[in-house]
Amino acid sequence: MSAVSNTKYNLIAIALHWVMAICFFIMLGAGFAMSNLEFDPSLKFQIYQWHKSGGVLLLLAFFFRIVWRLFKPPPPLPNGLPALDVKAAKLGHYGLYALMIAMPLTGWLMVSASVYGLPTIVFDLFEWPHIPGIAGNEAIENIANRAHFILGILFSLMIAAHIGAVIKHHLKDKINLMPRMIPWRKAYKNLKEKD
Amino acid sequence: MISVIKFVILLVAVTFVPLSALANNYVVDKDKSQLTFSGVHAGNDFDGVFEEWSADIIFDAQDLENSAINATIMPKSAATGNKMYDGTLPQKDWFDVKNHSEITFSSSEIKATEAGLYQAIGTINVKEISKPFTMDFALDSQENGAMKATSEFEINRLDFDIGKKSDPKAEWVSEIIRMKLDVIAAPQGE
Repeated sequence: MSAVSNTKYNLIAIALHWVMAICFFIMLGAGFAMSNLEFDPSLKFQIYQWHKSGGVLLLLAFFFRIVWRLFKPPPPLPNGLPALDVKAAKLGHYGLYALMIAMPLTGWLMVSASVYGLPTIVFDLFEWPHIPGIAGNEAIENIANRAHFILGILFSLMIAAHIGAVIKHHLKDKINLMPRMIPWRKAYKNLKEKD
Repeated sequence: MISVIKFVILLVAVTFVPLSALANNYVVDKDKSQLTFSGVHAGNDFDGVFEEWSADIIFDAQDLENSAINATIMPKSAATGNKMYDGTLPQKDWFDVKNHSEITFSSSEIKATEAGLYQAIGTINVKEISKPFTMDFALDSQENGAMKATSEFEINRLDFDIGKKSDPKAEWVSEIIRMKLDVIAAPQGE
């Protein structure tokens, strides 16, 4: 038994979580819209370019987030979570992180191999290079395109499961996890830490 | 006797001087000349300029048979001022400048159509694809014997496999690219 432990994520981690979460919703929405819906080509082209720019920033943010997490580990999980849920949470978080990196990487691969040859100019500010040696490689473009789409669906499902888990813990296990990720909510007391 | 010698010299000169020498060689004034292109991308107009090109012009309105135009355009010099477009144009599916450094036009015949209006009939070569091509142009006399040639014509980019894989149905980039030519050229040596 330890003293009352810190049960909140640190401010930077909280900021990264929410800012990136909002970006993921926008990116997934834009991605599905631009590849499936018919609308004004000028806007569609612009959305493609914003999507590419957003992907670059999220790729960089991912690395920052991982490094930050290594130096500032997350707070321990609250007491009373079923052992299976702890395992599932761990697995789920690994999965989310894997998708956070796989999404921009497959996007980058696709853009680099595209026959279009369009450069990626991040929000009209600077050019992000293509992965060298694969320009115009249709086989790689097709595989990356397919992967980006499937992973996008998987990511959407994982995010839904992530939110679903918070609701499940709140309603079924009577454990409110939200204060861990909201700076101004009063932290609960975790008297007995799990590992 | 001397007049006979003069006559013979003149006769020899007229006989052996190549006919083309009678037409004038024109030198392009690069500062006052421009070759531009324009089209539509994703519903928006774009335009650009070829910054590097050259033209050999031999022209005499009285001797069209020996007049000829040969032009070379460097596709890598295409500039629109838009980073996205300028980054894309040199790529493999577009101008493919790594493998094809020049666009050429050479005339095989120049015809007068109306007063001041002409046609250069010849061949245009883009990315090793040659097509017969007729360019209408207008000529205006300028000061000091210079001439101003203006021309507007259209090129179907798909005829030359430009953006063939990226956009074969012209859903993004119009297949018709409008070209505009403004050339000021002066006879050589003037």
